[in-house]
Amino acid sequence: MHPAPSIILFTVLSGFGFGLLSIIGLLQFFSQISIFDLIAFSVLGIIFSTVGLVSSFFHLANKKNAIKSLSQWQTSWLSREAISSIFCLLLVCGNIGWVFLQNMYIKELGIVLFFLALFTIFTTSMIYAQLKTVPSWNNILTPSLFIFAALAGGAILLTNNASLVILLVFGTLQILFWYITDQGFNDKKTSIGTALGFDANEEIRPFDAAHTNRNYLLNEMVYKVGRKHSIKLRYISFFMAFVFPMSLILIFPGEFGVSILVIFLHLIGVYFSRWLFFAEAKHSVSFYYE
Amino acid sequence: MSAEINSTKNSERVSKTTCYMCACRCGIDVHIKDNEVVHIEGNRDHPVNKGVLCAKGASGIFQHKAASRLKKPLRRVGERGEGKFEEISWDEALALAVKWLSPIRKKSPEKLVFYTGRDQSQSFTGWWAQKFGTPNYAAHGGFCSVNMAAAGIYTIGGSFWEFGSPDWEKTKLLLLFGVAEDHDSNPIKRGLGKLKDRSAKIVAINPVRTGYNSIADEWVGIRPGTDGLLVLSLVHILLKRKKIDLEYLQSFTNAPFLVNISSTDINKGLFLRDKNGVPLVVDHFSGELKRFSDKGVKPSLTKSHFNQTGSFKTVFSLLTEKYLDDAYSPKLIAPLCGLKEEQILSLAEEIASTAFNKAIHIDQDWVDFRGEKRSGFIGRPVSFHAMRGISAHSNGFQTCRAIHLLQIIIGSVDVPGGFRFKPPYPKPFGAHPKPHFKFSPDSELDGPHLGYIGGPEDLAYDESGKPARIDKGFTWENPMSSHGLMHTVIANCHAGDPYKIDTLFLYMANMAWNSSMNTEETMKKLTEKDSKTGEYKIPKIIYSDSYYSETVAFADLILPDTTYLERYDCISLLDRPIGEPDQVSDAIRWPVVKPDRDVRSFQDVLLQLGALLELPGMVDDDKKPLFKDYSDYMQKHQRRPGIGPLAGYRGDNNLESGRGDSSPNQIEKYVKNGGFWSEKIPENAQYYKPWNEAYQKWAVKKGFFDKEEPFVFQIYLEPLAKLQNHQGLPSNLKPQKHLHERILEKMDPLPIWWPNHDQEKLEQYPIHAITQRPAAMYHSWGSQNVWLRQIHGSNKLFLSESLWKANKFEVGDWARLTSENSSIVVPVALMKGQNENTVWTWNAIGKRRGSWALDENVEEANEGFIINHLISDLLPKKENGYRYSNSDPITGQAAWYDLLVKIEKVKNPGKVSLPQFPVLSSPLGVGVDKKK
Amino acid sequence: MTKLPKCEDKKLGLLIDLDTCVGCHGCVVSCKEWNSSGSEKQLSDINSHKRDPIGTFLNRVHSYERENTNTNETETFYFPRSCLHCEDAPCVTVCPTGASYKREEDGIVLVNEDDCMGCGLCAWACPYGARELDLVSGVMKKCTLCVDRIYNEEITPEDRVPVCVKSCPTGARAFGDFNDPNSDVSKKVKERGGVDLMPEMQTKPVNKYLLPRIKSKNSQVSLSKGAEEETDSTGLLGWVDRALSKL
Ligand SMILES: Nc1nc2c(c(=O)[nH]1)N[C@H]1C(S)=C(S)[C@@H](COP(=O)(O)OP(=O)(O)OC[C@H]3O[C@@H](n4cnc5c(=O)[nH]c(N)nc54)[C@H](O)[C@@H]3O)O[C@H]1N2
Ligand SMILES: Nc1nc2c(c(=O)[nH]1)N[C@H]1C(S)=C(S)[C@@H](COP(=O)(O)OP(=O)(O)OC[C@H]3O[C@@H](n4cnc5c(=O)[nH]c(N)nc54)[C@H](O)[C@@H]3O)O[C@H]1N2
Ligand code: SF4
Ligand code: SF4
Ligand code: SF4
Ligand code: SF4
Ligand code: SF4
Ligand SMILES: [Mo]
Repeated sequence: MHPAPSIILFTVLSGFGFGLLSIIGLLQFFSQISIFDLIAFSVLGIIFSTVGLVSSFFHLANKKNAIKSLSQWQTSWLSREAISSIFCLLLVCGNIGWVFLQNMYIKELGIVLFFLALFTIFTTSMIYAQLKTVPSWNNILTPSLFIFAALAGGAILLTNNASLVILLVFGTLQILFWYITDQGFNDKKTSIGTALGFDANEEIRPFDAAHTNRNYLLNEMVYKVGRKHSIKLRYISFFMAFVFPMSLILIFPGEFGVSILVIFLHLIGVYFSRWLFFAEAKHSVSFYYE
Repeated sequence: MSAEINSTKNSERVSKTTCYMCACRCGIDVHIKDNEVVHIEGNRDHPVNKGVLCAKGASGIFQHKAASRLKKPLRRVGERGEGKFEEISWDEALALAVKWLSPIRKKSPEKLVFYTGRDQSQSFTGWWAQKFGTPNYAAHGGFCSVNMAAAGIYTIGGSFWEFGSPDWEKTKLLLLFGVAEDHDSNPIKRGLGKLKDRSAKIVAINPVRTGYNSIADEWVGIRPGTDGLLVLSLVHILLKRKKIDLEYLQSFTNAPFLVNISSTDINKGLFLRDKNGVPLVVDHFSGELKRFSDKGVKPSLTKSHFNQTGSFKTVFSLLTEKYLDDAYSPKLIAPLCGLKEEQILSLAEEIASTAFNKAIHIDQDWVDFRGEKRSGFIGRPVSFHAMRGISAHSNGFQTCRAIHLLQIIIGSVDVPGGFRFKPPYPKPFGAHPKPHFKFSPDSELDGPHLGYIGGPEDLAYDESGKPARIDKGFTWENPMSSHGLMHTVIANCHAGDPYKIDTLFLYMANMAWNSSMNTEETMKKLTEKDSKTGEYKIPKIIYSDSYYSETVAFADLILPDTTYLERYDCISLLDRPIGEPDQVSDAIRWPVVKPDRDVRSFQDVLLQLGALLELPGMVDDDKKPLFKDYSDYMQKHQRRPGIGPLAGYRGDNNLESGRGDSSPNQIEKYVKNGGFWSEKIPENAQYYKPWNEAYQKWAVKKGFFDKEEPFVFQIYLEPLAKLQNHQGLPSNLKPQKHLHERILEKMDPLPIWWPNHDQEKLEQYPIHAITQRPAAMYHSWGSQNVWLRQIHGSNKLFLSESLWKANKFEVGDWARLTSENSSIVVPVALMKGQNENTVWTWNAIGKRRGSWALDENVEEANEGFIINHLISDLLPKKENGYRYSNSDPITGQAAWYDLLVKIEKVKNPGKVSLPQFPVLSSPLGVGVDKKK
Repeated sequence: MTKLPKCEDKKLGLLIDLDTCVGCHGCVVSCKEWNSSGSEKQLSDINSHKRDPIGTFLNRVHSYERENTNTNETETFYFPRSCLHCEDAPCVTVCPTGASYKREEDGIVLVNEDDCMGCGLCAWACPYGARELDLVSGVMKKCTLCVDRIYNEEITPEDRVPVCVKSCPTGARAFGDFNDPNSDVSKKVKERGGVDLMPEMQTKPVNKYLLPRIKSKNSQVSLSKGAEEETDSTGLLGWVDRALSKL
């Protein structure tokens, strides 16, 4: 799949934003967060998730109809995501407003926020995970990875030990995910053979192109990343998103300044991970072209 | 004119006219809204296409609205070939043309050289040239497929080339030789679909397995240029196994004719004839000599004859002697063709068993040309079709004749399930005009230019023995060049050989690019100046095109034409008619929209020029124009009394067809009928047309000919024997010495095969390079079409697996292809389904930078390429220093597919195909995207 | 509505015969033509006269080579690709705006361009690449099964078929109701074994394809058996003479 910067940015930033909000909710429920932190980090969460949402808005080819995306929650994960993120943002605003006015928070709201933000991240991930056309996405690892990537960010900023656990899970999931990606297309159930109505193991090869130049399909869904290049990027991603953050947290526990650095490194790592998530994903339409 | 039928929500009116992007000429429904063409679809009622449409036809909107359309007459201001022009008015343009042409006509009309491309009004342009008086006229047939036309007309009185088709409804086995798209493209596609529906078998003989060949049940991946061998081997097997139709051979062919075999006789090789010239045969039962056409005669196929003048053998005996020879055994032939012996044997089996075990019988009484009643149409349901894979080789004429021979010996021509003629064919070669070339100042030519020679006496030499035509058509180098030799024109004009000319007038042929051999050299010849006078070697060039093609840049005066939706055209029985085997049809085009530019239909312009030049037939006694415009000509002109360009709706009430007075409402009737006229052949005249009295009578009634013209098929072609035996000719007609051997060798009256290359050359250049027509492109003009250029924006050279591996090619590689003539650098790709010694590419995708209103960086002009650079127009020097043109020695057909090359991988390709030429400047600029 | 209806009445679609398709691109262009002509909702073309032209098409024809393991030959075949109007159309359920929908009455899958926001998700969800986002109008385009023809009362009844079906010169494309066992398409599917593309994607395509028939290996050589051979002209002429006497 084409690794469109706007989409990668969207998923990374809004993921971070909602992950942060989710962690805030959890801490709020356990009363483990100061009012100041709650407000400050909620604002940060809002900013990131909104920036993400806006960047995905710019990805739309026909923006004037964006509002209609709230209508199909019954079947569409994208619609659910839109609705859920709006509800989530409303809830956060309400939460902040209450704290502002009352100088205290309702801890039960925390658990609602936790689940709503988590659900929002989940809906985002399900947009990809639901696609049978992209088998490397079409499994439970996709939501898990999205959720833990998102939570890790929040946890790094706001917790210490918990962040280590979350990062550990995230790192493991990431490796598992790459392992899955390397397994090839849905266990070879789909092939150029089945794409053309033959058996899966038919030897078929395109000879003259259906069209000379790239088209929307090729631009959007057929992307090739070299194996060597991808391995290099995996290392970068893994070290930035996981190894460095873990080590820094272990070496400098509880240092806020370091957390900022860690977050920064982590987000860059997640960005690469997400880039690979797209770039390495093979869509079934590519069988017609390769 | 109004044929506005209210139809879909999309349009206000539907105008029915005829498509243009190839020669099959489908009927189209043009939907128009606000005087703009909004949609084109197939006309369901049209006999040719019954509603279907190909990619070119369906994108006619972009043919019609192309950004590359010329807008106004142009006069060259820069150097020739630069593409710098100034716009002038039509008055100026016509005045300039008249200024050039008028003195020529007055003094030496042969100095006008007028050649037209694949136009569809050859009977009109030829007539114009005849009235002008120049002998130098032809259309594109000489470089296209004259081999098919000539071999067909000479042998069976009609050809694969548009004048007949397989009996799609009844055939059970089709052999398709060397066809990618054909002129008859939609009918062939419809036909193949019908065969598929009936599970009839299709065998494709083609070095490449694409398109039609890909859906064939059996593919014979033959080595290019060897089809003649394969076919004669099939003949060999069928003769050996006695799988031949004796009755057919006896009754309908010249197999029983008696050939003079006395080696010294002046009539050697000629038929035994009676005093009136009627060929004689030995009656099988009485043993007496009879005229072949007499009632009751049962010609013997075997009995020889002796008299005081010499000894005579039947054609059939000569044929068996020749083809039973082991030289034609499949065992020997198979390796030469790149095939397996069993494949040839099984093909023969398939043909024989289908022809004889699956014969068809249609219960229908008819009377043959001997006046004998017959009680049914017997059908041999094996049909053949062949095109440029056969004709574009220098042995194509004889190869095509070999295919006809094969058809004839199994009795499958114009029979149910076989190959069927489309009226006005069949027509024996004798019923066609002979070539005319006698010119004199200020007068018209003595007759139509092109035709069919009966022997050396018809060759086109002047009194001094110099070729009369600039293209050296109808000379000993290519005596049966029935369509002229357009591909020699530029070289000969440049060389002043056989004489100097003044004005080259071209119409609709991209001769500076994809329709020339040795393109780079051709461009040089067009632009070269005489070092002494500083004048161009070809002094003046006038060209009519509708678009900014590569050739426009080389003309001094451009007469911009309309598009096919903006003008009248006449698809006439006098020309290259449309039609189907069971009906006769012709058609028109009419202006369904008005041009939005200052352009004129070329036919109108010719009539205007004719009137200004006061050409006979174009002005009345007061020198006033006789015709208002071309549509007026279409209705009024009569070739012979009662016979005009259009056969339908003639006479006062528009009720006559074929023959009849002109009618002022004729075109209106055509328009009302959907742009065409069509009439069924009577049931009892549907088959066996050359010998069927009912058909002959009907054909005379319809005006195809003036008296009945029954004839027998020419297995043995006597005019060739006359060429071989060139004794006793006047000195101006005698062949030069160096040609004697070639004439004797190649002009065999029975079909033969010879290799296109000597062994030495094959060793140096071991690979055949050919092109194919892409279905979705028409020669060079598809690339201006916004949709089609997305499908075929550039081409690759396809290599067989063995060539791919031998040169260690990988995806994305480039190769240098070198021929005797030059070399090109091109991108390559692998294609397994092709003959292993063959490379191929799509024809005419490559464009020159700056042409066709395309940006100079487009794929077509950078990665795209043409292989024409590699094809020499002249063959290498012979021992005597003479260079023949790269053509069939009999017909002069350009031998495009004789090309041999070698190939090497290019290490660091520049990712641009080579050669490249300077960017043409364009009077039009680059086309822009259509706004919403 | 992006909820998939049960199409119990009709299932309209195309039957494409790969044994007959010659890859002429006629259907590709006819489709583009019909869907661009005379309506505001055109299929755009960008860089139309420049390098990298890119336009929207609803139907594309690919060409392939296949190693036929039965005959050991390489066969070429052509493959037209357009929307299959799937029964379980994933492109519909993913659509957030409701622009994509499947019609209950005949199963046609359509995009309501007035609702589409151009997110492209439906194109991702389609296994077959049957949807292309139009870069000028910003909305998703796909085969409509020529819904504006097949019910169009202003068109003569025999022309109320998709334009690609009407124009296909070889007749490799057929249109009909796959729910009706007596329709021509259903009968052909039964007779020749129509197949689904990527059945593992569980989209239940309505369109079916007929695969290239098994090409007959060369017919058995039996000529040499029955008929005796003549090795020279004299022998053959003798036979001819005898045969002519019997005629
Ligand atoms: N779409 C489209 N249609 C066209 C045209 C076009 O440009 N585009 N052009 C029109 C014109 S002008 C013409 S002349 C006709 C030509 O129509 P075709 O005769 O179909 O022309 P080509 O494309 O030259 O195809 C020749 C075929 O012969 C094969 N071939 C080459 N050498 C040999 C050989 O030695 N033996 C055998 N058996 N096969 C061989 C090639 O592989 C190719 O498939 O098409 C007309 N129709
Ligand atoms: N390598 C290779 N070369 C070949 C062949 C091959 O198979 N291989 N095939 C050969 C054959 S068979 C042929 S027929 C030739 C074809 O070669 P050409 O006859 O040169 O073919 P086109 O490219 O169609 O060029 C015709 C010209 O007519 C112009 N034109 C189009 N419509 C109109 C119109 O309405 N009015 C006017 N006045 N002009 C118009 C076009 O713009 C173009 O410039 O190519 C030959 N060249
Ligand atoms: S085959 Fe195509 S280009 Fe040729 S006349 Fe028919 S529709 Fe036009
Ligand atoms: S129009 Fe018919 S034959 Fe041509 S590509 Fe399309 S389906 Fe195949
Ligand atoms: S083919 Fe693709 S676009 Fe068409 S219904 Fe099926 S999933 Fe949707
Ligand atoms: S692109 Fe349009 S039709 Fe497709 S999912 Fe998005 S909103 Fe729906
Ligand atoms: S049914 Fe209509 S929209 Fe669909 S591919 Fe055919 S022509 Fe195009
Ligand atoms: Mo041609």
